[in-house]
Formats: sequence, C-alpha cells, structure tokens
Amino acid sequence: MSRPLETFFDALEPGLMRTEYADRLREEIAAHVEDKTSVLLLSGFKEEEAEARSVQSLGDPRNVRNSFNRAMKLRSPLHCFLETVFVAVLSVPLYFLCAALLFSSLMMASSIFAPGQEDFGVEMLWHILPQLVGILAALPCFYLLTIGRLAEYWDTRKTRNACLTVLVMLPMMLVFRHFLTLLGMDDHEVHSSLLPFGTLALVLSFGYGAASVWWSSRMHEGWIRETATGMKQDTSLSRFALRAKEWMPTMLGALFLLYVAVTTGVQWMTDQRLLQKYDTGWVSALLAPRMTLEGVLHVSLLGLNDTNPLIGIWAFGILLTLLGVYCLYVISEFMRRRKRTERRHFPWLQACILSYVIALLCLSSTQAPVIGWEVPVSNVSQRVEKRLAGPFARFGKYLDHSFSTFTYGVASDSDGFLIQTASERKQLRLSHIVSTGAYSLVREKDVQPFTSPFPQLGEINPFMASYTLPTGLTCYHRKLEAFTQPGMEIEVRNVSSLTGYPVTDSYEQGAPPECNFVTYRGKTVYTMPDPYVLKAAAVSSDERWLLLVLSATNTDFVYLADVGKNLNDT
Amino acid sequence: MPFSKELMKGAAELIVLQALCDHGESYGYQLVQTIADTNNNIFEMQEGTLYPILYRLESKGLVTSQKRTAPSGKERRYYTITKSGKKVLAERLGEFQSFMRAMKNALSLSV
Repeated sequence: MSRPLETFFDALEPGLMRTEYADRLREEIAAHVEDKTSVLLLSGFKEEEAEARSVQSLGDPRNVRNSFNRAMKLRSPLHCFLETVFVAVLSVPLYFLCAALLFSSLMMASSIFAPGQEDFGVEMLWHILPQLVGILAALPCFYLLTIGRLAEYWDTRKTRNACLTVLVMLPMMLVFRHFLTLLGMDDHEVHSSLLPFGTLALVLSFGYGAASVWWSSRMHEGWIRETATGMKQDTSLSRFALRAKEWMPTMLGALFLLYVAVTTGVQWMTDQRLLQKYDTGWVSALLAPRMTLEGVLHVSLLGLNDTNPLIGIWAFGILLTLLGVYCLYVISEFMRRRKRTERRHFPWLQACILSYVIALLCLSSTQAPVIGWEVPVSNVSQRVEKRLAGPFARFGKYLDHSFSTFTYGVASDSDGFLIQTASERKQLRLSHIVSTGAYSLVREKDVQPFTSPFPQLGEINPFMASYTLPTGLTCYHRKLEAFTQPGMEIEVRNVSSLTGYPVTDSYEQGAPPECNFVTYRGKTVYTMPDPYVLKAAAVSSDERWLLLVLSATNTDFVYLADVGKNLNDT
Repeated sequence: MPFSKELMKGAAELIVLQALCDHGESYGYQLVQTIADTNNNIFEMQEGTLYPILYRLESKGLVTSQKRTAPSGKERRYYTITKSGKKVLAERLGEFQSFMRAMKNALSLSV
C-alpha cells in the first residue's frame, strides 16, 4: 500500500462509527485508488505522482468519514428500546389471540379463550400448532422493524396510527380479561393450579418477546447487513422479498433459540409429573419436546416406527446426531472465518437447532419414569431392548406417541398379564423381562395368540363396569371440589372388590376409582398431583410385577412397576 | 462546479441510482467515471464519499453488491440497482421534476 493511501486511512478510520464496515471501506477505496493510478500511469504520470493524485481525488478523509457516519447513522438506544417494547407488547397478545381464535373460537364455536382456561386445551395431535401460529403471528410484528423508520411512521401517519392503536389494544383487552380469571378471580381448582404456570408463562413471554426484538433490532442495526453474499445479487427480488429473505433465518433463529431456552428452563424447573398432567393442555405448547422440530422428525419417522421401532429409534438418533454435527460444522466454519473481510452474520438458526438437539438429549435422560415403566396402551405389545437401541435408546419415548383411549381389562396369568382392549387381546410375557430399566418398549413378537379363557383372576369388562383390584393395593384419592369441600382427601384403602358397581359417570355412584397415588403393600408405585381413573390393575403370580392402567384426559397409560424389589427391601 | 452540501445531500443518491440504472452493474471507480462523464464534470464529488452513499443505498435495499473478478483480473465489488431501487428512482425523479417546476415558478414570481 502506498504511503499517501496509508496516511489517508490513518486519518479516516479513527472516527468511523460503524467499525464493521471499516475493512470493506478500506478494501474498496484501495481498489479505487489502484484503478485510478493505473489510468494516470497510462496518461504519462510517474508512479508516485499518480498515487498521490489518486488519493487526493478521494477528498479530505475527514469529509469521507463524516459522510460515512451520516450515511450509516445508528438510531439512538432509546429509540431502539421504545420500538422493542412496542413490538414485544404487540407480539405477545397476537400470539395468544391467534392460538385462541384457531383452537377455541373456530373449532369450538365459542368465544375467545385465553391460555389457562380449561377450554383452551387442545387435542393431542394439535398441540404443536399453537407454537407455529404464534411464531407466524409474531413475524409481521417483527417485520415492522424492518421498515426501519418506525418512529417516523408513527409520527407521520396519524390516521393509521389511530387505527393501529385500536388493533393493538383489542387483543390486549381480550387476553387481559381472561388473565384476570387466571389470576384468581375464579378459585376453581384448575385455574388456581394453573396460576403459577400462567404467570410464569406470561412473564417469560413478555421477557422473551422483548429480548428477541431487542436482539433483532441490534442485528438490524448492522450486524446482518454484511450478509451480502449470494442474497443481494438477486436483483429480481422486491424490497419486501429481499427484506424477508434477509430477515427470516435470523428472526426465526433468534425466536427459536430463546424459545428453546425458556421452555427447556421451564421444564427443568418443574415437576415432570405435573407437566405430564397438563400434557394435553396449553402448557404443552411451552414444552421443548413438543416443538416444531420434534413434530417434523416424529411425523417423518412415524411410518418407520410403526413398522420397526428399533429402526425408528436408530433413525431418530442418527438424524439428530447428523443435525447436531451439521450445526456444529456451520458454527465452527463461521468462527474460523469471522476475521475475514467478508463478514457474515452468526448462524443463529444452526445454533438454535443445536441447542434443541442438546435439549432433547438432556431432557430424555432427566425424564425417567417415576415408577419402573410407562407404556402407552397401543404400544404395550412392543418392546425394544435398550441394548439393541444402543446410545439412542433414550429416544424411544419420542417416537411413541400413538396413544389410544381403549377401554380394557387386565389380569395376570402364570407368566405375565392378559390385556384386553376393546378391539384385541394381548398377552405380555414376564419371563422375557429381566428388569424394567432394560427396556424402552414392549416387543411385538412377545404377543402370543390368546388361547386361555379370559380372565382367569379378575373379572373383565371392556366397558369397566366392574373389576377386582388386587389385595394390598391402596388407592389414595382426592375428590373433586364439585362433590366435597375443597382440599378434602378421601383415602380408599384395600379396595378388594368393586365388582357390581353400575356403570355411571358419577364417582359417587361407583365408577372406577380415581387415584392420586397408588401404593402396593405400603410402597408407593404411582403418584400424580391430580386423580386419574384407575381402570385396571393386576399383580403377577410371583408378586413381582404390578400392572396399572390409568386413564388421563384422552390418554391411557399402562404402568408396569417392579414391586418385587421393593417388597424384598421391605 | 461545486454545489453546497445541503443541495447535494439528496441529489447524490439520485445521481448514483441513475448511473447504476443507465449503465448496469458497476464497481466504485467505474461509477465515479460514469457520473463524471455523464455530467461533464458538473458534479465534482469527492470520490471517497461515493462509498458511504453506496452503503446506505445497500442498507435500504435499493442496490445490491457482489464481489467478482473484473476484466482487469482483479477482484472488485460490483453494485447493481434492485427492483425497488428502480421504483424509488422513478418516484424521486417525479418528485424532483415537480419540485423543479415549483421552484421555477416560485423564483420567477419573486424576481
């Protein structure tokens, strides 16, 4: 580099406000001088003179610097902060509004519901959608920032300003009304139990919204402006498309990362059993394992899982591993090249996916069932040995979501349990089970043709009119407030037989017992915060295994507890 | 002819956009030459100030840039006007013409 040019840069760079442009400016000005010098040399100037003239033609470096600082002026921090607050406040109610409109008003033909209401609960297969809707709803809000001159927009467009204010306030008011209910206006048990969740969720949502937008606005101010490669060559793009293309990955990435962080944090801080209870409600939208990526993976592997669970587990594990490796590679490449002139923005999306993969890995190991084993009913006939699933055994539960709501009865025989659902009968052989900890599911080939009359020990009625509970089983029950005083506990001990109770919806008239927790000979084998219907129970002939069938809102679970070990300990 | 900063402030972007629109993609030095040739050196801009203008236009999405090898064999950053850049140029030209007509009337009235 020539001496005059060095002097020029020395004078130009110290006061440059946007230092991220310094390399690029230096590079382009050097090229400019090089071109001009070549032309002057051809015109007969000597090299030194040509260079000096070229640099001189650039003008006063202070003027260039001032011109640059004016052109690339940053908005004030206060301006950014106010925009951030505005958009954050705008985005959160939109999230709730869209979800509420979709799942309550449209599908249930009722008024708008807020999270925390019982009616807001969604079907098992639908609970992934509120998140997508929420993210989609938030995007237009964030797009407002890409206009970049939001303050001017609000100042100059008075009419639109007024209209938008109403639109902004409307969802706020609708949500707020129901949030009051959530805060304790109605002391119904469900609401009061959801209060901490609701409050936490709203606080986190606001915080997360504000942080997202603040972060994004900072990036908007310059960090992602350097993404030029590839994207900006396309002159056919409209301004909107260009902006969208430029913003989408970063926005989704920022949202996703924060979303993972918050939901993972919530899940780790909360009792797993409590989360399980709200599995079908709006809280599920906050859970990391219910997020979009899992949905995509699950759907894509569903067919495989049904065919061969072992292959499904391996495929799921390999896919996650590949995703993680790819993300690590992209991030490491960025770190390696970050000092180069051609700057790129941090690969947020890959960082988010990586954090999601890590979250799945961490959560899968922390979500061990409280008792030995939990198996969804429809898969009770499938077992996969952990040994065969290798390092991916922990992913078994992520692939096993095909719940059913059959009514059925169970009984034990000399080597296992007989299970009768509304549509089929199965036999689960216990001789194959070494330890509940060694299996993640029950293998199909262990289902034997049903030959003996069913049942042998307990009376079986597929419609649960009656059945016999094993001796030694104790069901603790907290009755619903609708029937008794709030908080009153009723203990049902040693229910030896419920045979003969009429089929009815009323607990009082003898429907199957609802249990908060179940003990067998003094040892707790099952516990949940709220009562679930104990549909059936049976103990194996050697009294080692206890099979419980419990019904959640729209899911039935089979719990297999290794009670023999406990009893021996006793 | 040197114009005042105030007068040149809005015009510089317009001139750069027009140059890019007329001559297609160009790198910095080419643009300076194009502008000088087109205007017969009426606009004597300090060449160094061209780049901040280009960066601002790029940040608004009115131009895009891409590094390529120039015919000279050296790597240069080429700037291209975008669709929205063309749209903005057309709008501003219309505005500018109206402004000129109004100024002309106002000044001739006052004279």
